[in-house]
Amino acid sequence: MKKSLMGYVLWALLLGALFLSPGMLGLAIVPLSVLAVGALVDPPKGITVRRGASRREVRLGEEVEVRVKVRVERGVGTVLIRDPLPRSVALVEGSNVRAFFKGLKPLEVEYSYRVRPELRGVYTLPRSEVTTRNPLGTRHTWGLHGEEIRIRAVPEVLKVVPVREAKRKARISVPETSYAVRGALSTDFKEIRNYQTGDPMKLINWKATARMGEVLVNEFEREGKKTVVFIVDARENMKGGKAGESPYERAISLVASMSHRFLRKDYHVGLYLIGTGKFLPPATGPRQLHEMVRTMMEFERVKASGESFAEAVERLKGVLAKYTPLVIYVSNVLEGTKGETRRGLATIRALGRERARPILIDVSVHGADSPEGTLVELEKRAILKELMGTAYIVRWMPGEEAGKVLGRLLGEIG
Amino acid sequence: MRFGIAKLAVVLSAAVLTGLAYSSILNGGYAVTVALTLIIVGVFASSGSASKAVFLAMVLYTVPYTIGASQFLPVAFPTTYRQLAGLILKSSYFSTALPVFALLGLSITADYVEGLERWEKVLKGAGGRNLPYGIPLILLAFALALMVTRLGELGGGALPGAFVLPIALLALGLVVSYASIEGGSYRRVLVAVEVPPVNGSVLIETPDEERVLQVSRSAGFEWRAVRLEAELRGRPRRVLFRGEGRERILSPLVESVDGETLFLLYRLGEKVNIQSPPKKFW
Repeated sequence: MKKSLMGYVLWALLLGALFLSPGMLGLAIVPLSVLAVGALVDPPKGITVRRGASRREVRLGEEVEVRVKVRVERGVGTVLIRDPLPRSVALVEGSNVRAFFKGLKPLEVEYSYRVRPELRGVYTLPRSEVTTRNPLGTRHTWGLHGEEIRIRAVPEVLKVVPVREAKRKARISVPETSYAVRGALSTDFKEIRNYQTGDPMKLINWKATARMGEVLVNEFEREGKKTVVFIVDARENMKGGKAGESPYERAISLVASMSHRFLRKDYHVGLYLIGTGKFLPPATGPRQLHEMVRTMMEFERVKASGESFAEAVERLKGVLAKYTPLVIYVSNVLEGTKGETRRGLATIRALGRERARPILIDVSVHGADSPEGTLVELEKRAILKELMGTAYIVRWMPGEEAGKVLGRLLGEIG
Repeated sequence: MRFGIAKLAVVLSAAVLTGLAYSSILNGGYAVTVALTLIIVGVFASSGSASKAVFLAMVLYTVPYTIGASQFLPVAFPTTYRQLAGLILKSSYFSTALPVFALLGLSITADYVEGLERWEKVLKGAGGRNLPYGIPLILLAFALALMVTRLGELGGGALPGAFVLPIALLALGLVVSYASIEGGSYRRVLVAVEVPPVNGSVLIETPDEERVLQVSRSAGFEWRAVRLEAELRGRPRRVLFRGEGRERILSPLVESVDGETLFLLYRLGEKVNIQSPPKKFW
């Protein structure tokens, strides 16, 4: 409106000057008067925006309801409220842009909309942008109101996995961790043994001592007697494919679900991210699961270095020797990484004194139903055949449910 | 529907007024009035734009009006002017400035109504409700313009007197509007800087402090333009963007005060919807 009024002013002045007509010049008074009256009318002001989210932490695929409460005290005109959304946060219901008219009375409105994070991560919904204009559109205000909302989208942890619990010997066994690094004593009785210097008095079995004539103590199982270390490839070959379905995204979900199960059995669980140098030492408890998920999410969008699997294993040598863990390597093995994978797996086997074969979970980007997928698939089959002897190999094809892969894998681990 | 009726009322008034004015100088009776009215309403019906139709009516009207009121034509073409002016100024529609004022008022109203209609389409309900508040304001401004012109005419000099009051009012409005910003009645300053997602930094300088806000290219994963916010106690003296080996001083695009807060928006580059996807992926 302001532009068109200025246009009228110029038009009248130009025509008046061209024809030396004071009457035409005088016409400029009309748009100028409208501008003057408009300048005296205040746009809506005294704005308060309160925002809240139904949840601050959601599993992927879940929705969050954002509630907005707006109060405008003074002025007359249009109030436009806009909540910008990050690209990976989809609007599923309602609208994040709303317009209201503020009359003579104070305006108080409440509305909500629902959003769904499409990818894992921490999202910040910035403050609301509020633009107001007076009824003539000659004055407007702009401001940022309300508070930022932070939403954490975490991967889905499959807590109930149908595992085929056949009464047969497990094909993959988790080796016992060396005595020195085990955790606190549990209440599970293990055996009676001879007293050793330093044993606490409360462990002495007095009845057995009296019967046998030598000091005997009760031995209990220690917590965290088994250790699992996940080595997850965080390099670029894991970050291809469709958004939300990249091998890395799927790896996060798989590692989180497996860790949940292992931690419930009081195992020590550790994590190493190849390409980032990030290592979480083996530990037990639900806090470790939280840490692992957070770490994997942190490095989701970070460009990784060129560190190879074999180099990562070299770096972890001390830990692998100390804990003798079951190593689970999650990667998308291709021709370029074949050599380093073989070397790394061989080193792990040697460090574990051949007690347990490491597990290689190969996460594919392409299915065999596309021309490029067929070629990659042929290549993969040849590579994995070569690696068969060094590791227990599990393949995860695109479209295959995480629960199915987990069920297959956990059924084999004893 | 509400807009359609308002637009038609404005167009019809302008068309009839122009038709009557032309009819008075062409001695064509109602035939000229009806013909011109039909032409102008036809323009409105075919284009759907009231402002175009009213502007056409106004241009048609201002041709004889400008000839009649011109001080240049009597000197340049005295004989032709005498014949034309005799015909034009004889008509009651051209001997006074009231009809052209009315036409300009109608043209502004048409523009306003169409502007609101566009808003209504986007805002769904909030645009149209401005109409009952806006029309009285335009009428008030129109009455004010007429009153000032009349005062100017009574004062003797048509031009200087006519300009004094609206310009004084405009100045007063601007003073009221910006008084709060310039007067420093705010206690808090919220600075928002919108920059493209490149590696760099934004430096905000105030008389008391210097604040550096980092911009990283990885922010472009989620946002088309990154909005950095800083809360300050005083108005910034200078806002600088450093990135890609260059340094640019930014000037505020929007500044407005609400309560005790001064909002300042700085933007680098073209206006973008910060959440929309880029036009081209690379």
